[in-house]
Amino acid sequence: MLELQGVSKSFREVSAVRDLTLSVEAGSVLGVLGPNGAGKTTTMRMLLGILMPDAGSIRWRGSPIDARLRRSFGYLPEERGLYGKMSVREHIVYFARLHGLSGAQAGRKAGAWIERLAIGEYATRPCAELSKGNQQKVQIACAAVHDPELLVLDEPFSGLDPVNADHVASILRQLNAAGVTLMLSSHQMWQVEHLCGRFCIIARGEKAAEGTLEELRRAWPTRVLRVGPRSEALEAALRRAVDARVVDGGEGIIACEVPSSLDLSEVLRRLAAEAPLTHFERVEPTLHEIYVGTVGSGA
Amino acid sequence: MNALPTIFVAEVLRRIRMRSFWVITLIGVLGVAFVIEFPLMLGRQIHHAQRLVVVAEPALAGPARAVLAKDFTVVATAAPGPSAPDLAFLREHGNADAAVVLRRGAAGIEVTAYAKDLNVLKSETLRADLRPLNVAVAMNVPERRIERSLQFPYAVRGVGTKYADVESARAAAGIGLAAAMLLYLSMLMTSQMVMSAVAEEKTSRIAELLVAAVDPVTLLAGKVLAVAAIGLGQMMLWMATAGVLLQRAGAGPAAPPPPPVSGAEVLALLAFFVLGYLEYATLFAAGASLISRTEDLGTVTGPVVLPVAAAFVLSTYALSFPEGPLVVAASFVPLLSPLVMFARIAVSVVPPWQLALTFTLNVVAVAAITVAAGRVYRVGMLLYGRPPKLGQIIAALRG
Repeated sequence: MLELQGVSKSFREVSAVRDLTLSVEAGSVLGVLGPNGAGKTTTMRMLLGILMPDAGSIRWRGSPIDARLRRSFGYLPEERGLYGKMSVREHIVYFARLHGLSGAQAGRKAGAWIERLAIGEYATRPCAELSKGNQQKVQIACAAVHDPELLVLDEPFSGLDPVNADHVASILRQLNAAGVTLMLSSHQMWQVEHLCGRFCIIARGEKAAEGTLEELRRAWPTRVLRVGPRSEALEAALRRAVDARVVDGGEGIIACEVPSSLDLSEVLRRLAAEAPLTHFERVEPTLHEIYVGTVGSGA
Repeated sequence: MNALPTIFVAEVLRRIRMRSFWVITLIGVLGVAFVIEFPLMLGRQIHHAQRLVVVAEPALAGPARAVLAKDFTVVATAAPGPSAPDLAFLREHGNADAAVVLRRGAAGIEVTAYAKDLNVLKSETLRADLRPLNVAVAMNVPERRIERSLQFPYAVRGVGTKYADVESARAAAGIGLAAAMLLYLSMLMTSQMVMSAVAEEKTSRIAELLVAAVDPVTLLAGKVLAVAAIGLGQMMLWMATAGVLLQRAGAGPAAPPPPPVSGAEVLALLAFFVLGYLEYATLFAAGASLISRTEDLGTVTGPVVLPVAAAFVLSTYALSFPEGPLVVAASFVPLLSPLVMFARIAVSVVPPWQLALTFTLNVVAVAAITVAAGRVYRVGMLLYGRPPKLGQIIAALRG
């Protein structure tokens, strides 16, 4: 398990991360969400030893993270790059060697990753000649070639077209299925929602929310109630029942936001008694809505 | 497993695959060849240009021919004519380069030389050669007697110096200057190789990936050592070129004495190259880690080039005044001493304690600069956008 306990980091007067406590189960996938400048990258850099925390502790499987442990981690930074003149194979072998693999192991692993990513035809070509999508694949291979226990990915889908984004997501799923713990940040909510088991929302350097999607939903204070068919009588009945602003929900439906603790069976009984009712739906908040609501509320 | 050998090998391969590396190496070889061969070639041409015709009455022409034969080739003698010698005259008289007209005057001889090319006529040599003849005519004694009288044993011997005579000392200073220039250029070029390698990683955004995999100081050390090996290889190739060419020049028929270069000096050159390079390369690398665009390299290069340029100027001064107080003081100062102390070694006997002190101070300086540069590098490699402020750099240096 990866554990961050009360971690803080400041850059002069700017407090980038404040008293962050977080845990990631081994073999799970954690999505770190937050607006630009929230402290996600700083957090990742601290757990990789690139930056030292001012306070707090970071442990992996119960041990403080040292240079030896860090070499069992893989990292895909947000700002990515390759040696333009180095070939794809050499690049992957080089990073495998930097992570402690022998020459023979590095060669074998690089070959396997080239095959897995279907970039065999580019293996001997300089990286600068590759498309952005293929460069991204090479970078993922560099981050994962040494079979890391923990793979940290900062914006892995950034700059990718939907096809390549799906490809990258499928590779990450395969890695996770093989037991690799993943920690990733992304602004592509739909990708994150499908990939991650748990989420941590960071805003202004502090943890604003954490949990599985179900846990985040349970903690979310409101739900959307959608009822139909749209009629003046139903609209009036709804206003009386929930005391909320009613809006057009589209497709002949009206909608309103209600407290999550509200007894909807009582609302349903009252609406049915006062107006014709064919549609009654309680809509769970999406990750996107929870994220926007959390970050936007200034949490 | 230590990542240092991996970084070292990768960096060496990356450098030697670059076309610019081979271009610079070749230019270095050609440059060394040019510096050695060009003056020799020029000297040979000028020597061959001294073909004279002596124009004088027979009583003067014979002795003049004899005294001029030391330094010139007298291709003909002729009696004085009514007009001054012209090009046709020179052509008719063995295609001479110059005609030397001698007449008896009130106080000896009067000489007028007519040359095709005034720049290549060794006028002062001509005058010196004819001086015994002038005295002989003025005193009315045979010129051979005068010439014999002008020859006397004369020598200048060094006291407490490493060279036996003035010629050796002059040759040593010349070799020292050439070696100091080689040292200066090698240190500068190889340090800039490190700087461009760091800047490449910074601007190509690969830096963060690297520092996540290996300790930044290991990364910096691997890079600096790899380029040092390449620079040393280049320098040895250039020195070998110089050695072969100088040996060839020394084997020639009218060869100058072989240059007084000892094995200890070659070792000193290599040792000071390594020390100087390590000091400057780490500084250049730290500087390069602070920039986000290669266009900004100039802003960090300037402050680092300044001491190396000062060291070179001081080293040229040291070749003439190796025991001057400023030179002796500068030969202990890291960053300056690799060049200044080397220049002192080339032309004088440096007390062993001074050598030991210089080496110790430089080794300590290399360690201190590496630690400081490593700290700046660690912070600088992750900074993009605006260059860091001085306060940030000082904070990084404090750790």
